[in-house]
Amino acid sequence: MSHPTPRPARPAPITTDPVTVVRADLTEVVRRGPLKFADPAAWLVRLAVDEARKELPGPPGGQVGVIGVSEFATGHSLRAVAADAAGGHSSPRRFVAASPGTLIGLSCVEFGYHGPSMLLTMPEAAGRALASVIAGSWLTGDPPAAARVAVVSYTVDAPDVHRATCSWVLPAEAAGRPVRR
Amino acid sequence: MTTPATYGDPIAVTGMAWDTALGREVEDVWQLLLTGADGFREVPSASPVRNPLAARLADAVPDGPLRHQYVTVTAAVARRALADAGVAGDPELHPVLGTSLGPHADSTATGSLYTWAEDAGRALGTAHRPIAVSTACSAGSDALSIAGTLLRTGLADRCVAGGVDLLSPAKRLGHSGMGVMSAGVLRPFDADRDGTLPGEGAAFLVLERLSTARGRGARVHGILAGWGASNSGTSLNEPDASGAAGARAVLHSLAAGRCAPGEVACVSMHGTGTVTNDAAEAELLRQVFGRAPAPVVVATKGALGHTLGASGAIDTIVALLALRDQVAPPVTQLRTAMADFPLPLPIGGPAPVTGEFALNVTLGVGGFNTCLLLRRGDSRQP
Repeated sequence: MSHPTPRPARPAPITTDPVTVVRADLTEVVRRGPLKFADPAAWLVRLAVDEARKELPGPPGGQVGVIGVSEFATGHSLRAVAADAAGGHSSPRRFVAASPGTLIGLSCVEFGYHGPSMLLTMPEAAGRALASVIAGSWLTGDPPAAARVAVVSYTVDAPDVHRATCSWVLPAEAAGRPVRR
Repeated sequence: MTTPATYGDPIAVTGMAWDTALGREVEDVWQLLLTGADGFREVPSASPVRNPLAARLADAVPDGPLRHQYVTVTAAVARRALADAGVAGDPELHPVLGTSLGPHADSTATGSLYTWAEDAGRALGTAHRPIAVSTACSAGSDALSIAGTLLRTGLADRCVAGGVDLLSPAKRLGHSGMGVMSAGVLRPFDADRDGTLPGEGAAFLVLERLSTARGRGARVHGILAGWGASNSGTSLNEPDASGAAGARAVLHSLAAGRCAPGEVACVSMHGTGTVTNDAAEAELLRQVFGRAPAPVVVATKGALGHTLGASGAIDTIVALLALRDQVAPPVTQLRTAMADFPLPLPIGGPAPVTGEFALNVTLGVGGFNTCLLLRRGDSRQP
């Protein structure tokens, strides 16, 4: 009863082609609605997830997992909070927006995703490799923790190159569906 | 890959260490928790905050820039965990390091959020670059779940995982400004609770497969038997008031660990002392346990403060000690339980724990809900 039982071998999950969005100026990313205060990088990530959603039609919301990878995350808001603190004050909304996990928390709220979520604050290549492992464990666990997983990274390739890249990790059974490989 | 995936080999906790407002020695702090002691004291603030009380580390944090303090505390606690496990100096170790805001909300020059972790890994002398996770108050627990995944999939043979968060002006101002800071004392699950209070701490645990631990004759503090997570998907800063999102994480951890709710002996809750968090957790518990035999609740923030990204790892150690000694510490500062709270709360003194399993629940800003399922380990060594 107490030991996890040996898990039968399952086909490896599949990963869709990545969708990438790039902006020169983060503050120009469209922000709207009650969560407008979220960090602009979170809105760029939301944009990438939204573009990836169009590549993979399915029911809205649900047991979707999200894994973010970024060593920069909510740096814009973090620096603003630090400046606030140096001046002896604090903005409640900015403080929330500075929490690095809101980089992907925004997409979870906007799209109604309530599967597991994780933010890896580390470089993109190593982080995405680890994210694939975690996503695979969520999809093939007994029981599965998610029906599909968005892996989305945010990087600053140059001072004026902000890039968010999103791909889906899907259970092998989805291979028969119309998804790009 | 270092080892073939071994899903049937349980994940053992063979080392653990912490640094808290009540001290550094695991057994000493545990005994203080059992007496209902707390580590709060007035901590001067350059700017006005709602409450001067904070649970600073009992032993002084080393001087220097905040990032340096994070590296020093992380490396020191992780080293003590490795020593406790009897594997000090293992170069093949995989560090998994969690924090919420880390040192990043206090520097207008913040760039990479990874450098503190990389520096800590360098200080530990590990061949593998650390994994860094930042899921607010769930970061410590999520670090442990990542370690569990690496071990289960055979990508690591041994990990040191946990979380750290230190007090800083930005954090104090932020919590004060958000209106979640208590004007008095932090009273988890109390009818008169009015908010949280900041703490600082670090906790790291050594995890390896049980076969490895037994093979080298290591003491096993407990088993990480399962884990589950969910995102509330409802708000960036408020917990899911329905309790449903948190309940999903708990139920998944139970299912993954093949444990029925009625087998849970104690449940360590996030218990921040805010009106909304504790109400959401009461709903969560009501949904999970229903009419099942009621486990005892453990809640440590009245003693140790809200240690943010460290709290999940700190409370994992507390839950393992509660299982080992079959006793739950009193909820420090709790006087009158909130109305209709569904599970027994130890008020004024320790409460007996009967059973082999514990849960550890954390809820974090950004919607991060995580639950770890823990199983009792070896008895205390003579």
